Amino acid sequence: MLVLPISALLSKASLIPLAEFWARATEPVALSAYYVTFSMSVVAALINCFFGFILAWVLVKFDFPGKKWIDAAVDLPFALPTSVAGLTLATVYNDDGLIGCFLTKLGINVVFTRLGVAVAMVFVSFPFVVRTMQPVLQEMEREVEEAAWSLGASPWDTFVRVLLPPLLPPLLTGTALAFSRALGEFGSIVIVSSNLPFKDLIAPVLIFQSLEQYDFVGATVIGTVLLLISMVMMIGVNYLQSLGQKGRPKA
Amino acid sequence: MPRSAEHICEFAGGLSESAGPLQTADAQAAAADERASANGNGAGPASAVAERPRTPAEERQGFPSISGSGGVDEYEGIQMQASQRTSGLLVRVRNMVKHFNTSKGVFKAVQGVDVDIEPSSICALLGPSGSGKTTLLRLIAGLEGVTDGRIYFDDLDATDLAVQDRQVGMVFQSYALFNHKTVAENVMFGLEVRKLDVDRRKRVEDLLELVQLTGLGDRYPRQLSGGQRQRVALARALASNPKLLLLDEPFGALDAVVRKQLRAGLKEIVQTVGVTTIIVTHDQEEAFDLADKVVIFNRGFIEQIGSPTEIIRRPATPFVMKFVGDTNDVPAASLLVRRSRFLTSKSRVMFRPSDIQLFTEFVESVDGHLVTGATVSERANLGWTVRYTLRFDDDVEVEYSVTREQADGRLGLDIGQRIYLYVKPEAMMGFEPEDIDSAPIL
Repeated sequence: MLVLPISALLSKASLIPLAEFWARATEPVALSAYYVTFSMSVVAALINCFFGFILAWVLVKFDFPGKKWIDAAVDLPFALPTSVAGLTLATVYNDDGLIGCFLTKLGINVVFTRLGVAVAMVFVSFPFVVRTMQPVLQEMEREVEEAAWSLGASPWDTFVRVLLPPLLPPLLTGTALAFSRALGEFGSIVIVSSNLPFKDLIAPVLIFQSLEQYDFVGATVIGTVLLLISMVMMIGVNYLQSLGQKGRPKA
Repeated sequence: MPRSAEHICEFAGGLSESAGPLQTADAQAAAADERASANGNGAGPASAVAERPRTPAEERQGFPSISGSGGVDEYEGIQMQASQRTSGLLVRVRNMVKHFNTSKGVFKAVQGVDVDIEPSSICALLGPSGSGKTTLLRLIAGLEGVTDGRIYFDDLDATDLAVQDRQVGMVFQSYALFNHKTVAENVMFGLEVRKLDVDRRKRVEDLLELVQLTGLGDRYPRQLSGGQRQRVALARALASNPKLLLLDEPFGALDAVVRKQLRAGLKEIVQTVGVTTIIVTHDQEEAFDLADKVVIFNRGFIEQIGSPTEIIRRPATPFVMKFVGDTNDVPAASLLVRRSRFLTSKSRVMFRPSDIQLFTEFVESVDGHLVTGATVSERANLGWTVRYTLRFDDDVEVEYSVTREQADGRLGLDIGQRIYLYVKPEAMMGFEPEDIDSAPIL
């Protein structure tokens, strides 16, 4: 299931002469599309890392009315078809939209810009960090925190030196998952962005456009490049995680 | 552990000689005492508290020794010679009240409690679950805010002191070790965050030796057994040389054999260090074995304070009587109680099975006590003891236990056998069923 499509893509790519492959892979349009895709995915992953952490923390540590509803709503991006998500975002951030009308006054345009791409990526990949953090936070004993206090640690010391270190691996995992989800997003972005080359065209949309023009070679080349970059990044994240675990016994 | 003792004594003296803004709490303490006495439940006369002789530590330093600001100027260490040892804190709790707001209403966890814990003694807080003993410990640690009442450490009013500034060592039921740190890093944590100027490595080594975990400093907590983790928690709590050690069900998660070993170790360690120790437990054996003073809790009130012997010999209330040993519980109007000439206004009477004087031959009276006839109705084999159920002619039943050896010999009874017994009225206690209820009041 996993290996077959990937090897099919790679074998197809291997049929293309290297010079042509390189020329197609480094076309200015393609380069710009990679750049938009990866930079916006990184931005989206970082935003999710930060706010996902805070939301998971609040959901686990505090009790407030409506908590159950917020907890359930976190899964919404998973349940929603991405085109619906794109439609919703386009409506809300439109010039006349609920949020868009305020942002337009401030001179910020979301729809049909790179910002829109990032917003869509944040939306679809939001649950990952929250859902990977929640069980770890729940498992954390309140007594550990209290023990640190009784040993003289300030709340800040306690957070940085006692609470945060065990949370970093799941946070990294969640962020990496969110990043890969953002990287692969197509359905909502194709609606939210203007899909203009050099502006807000992302690589998956570029593949789609190539296919529409029966440019199978171009699509294959860009697809292969995306695949290779994602694999390198995933291996990098795994390596970072293993560094964090070094010397530590498995639970 | 004599060798470690020598090491540790190279550190000198008490935790802090800081000159923070210190409030002398004598006046407040006295006022609180008067209030308590006026209520008729004062734990001691006000003058006794105010005129308490100053401890050597106080004389050396001139004034109380817990800093208000948490600043630590000089770190000394564990003193092994009794004469030089920093004495533990005198802890006084006055009119302590703690209510929790829960979804079901106000839970009155602690309802006006007065306790004094003498310096360098071991005090056990004993009671059924939900009786308020853990809450009191957490109040003393500063992990809960008081609803009303004051806490004094020596002469300092510690009621509003932050948990970080109380400088108490605390061992939690779950040990609460930092799993991402090694054993040594766990123990060192308190020294680091308090920025104590000592040879930390040496100090950690000494502490691990004290708790007999030498050489395990590089392990992670998950690689240790339950008993070892418990000792790491103890070493960590003692690292910054607190004057007060608080233990919340320290052996609760361990099996009986390890429990007994650690109990002996704990007693030795806290006596070596000279720290005042408060231990919360629901295990009576543990409390009576470890403590100089036992405080028995029920429903947020103190039922009795006393030495282990006092509590066993002279239970002050029906609850304590029922809690600290086996009891037989019979109606006050029963044949046995009437023939024993025990007078009470209460509806029920209890006495210990061991206070039953039993005869197999009929006698009218013994030493002026009328005997009551009963039939052996049941025999339960409990291993090294045998428990008989005796039924009186008015269908009231009591239990009577003998050792296996006695049961096989002279005191062996058969089911259906007629026996005669008496219980001295002094051994009986009248009570109402609600007196011994331990369900928390919500």
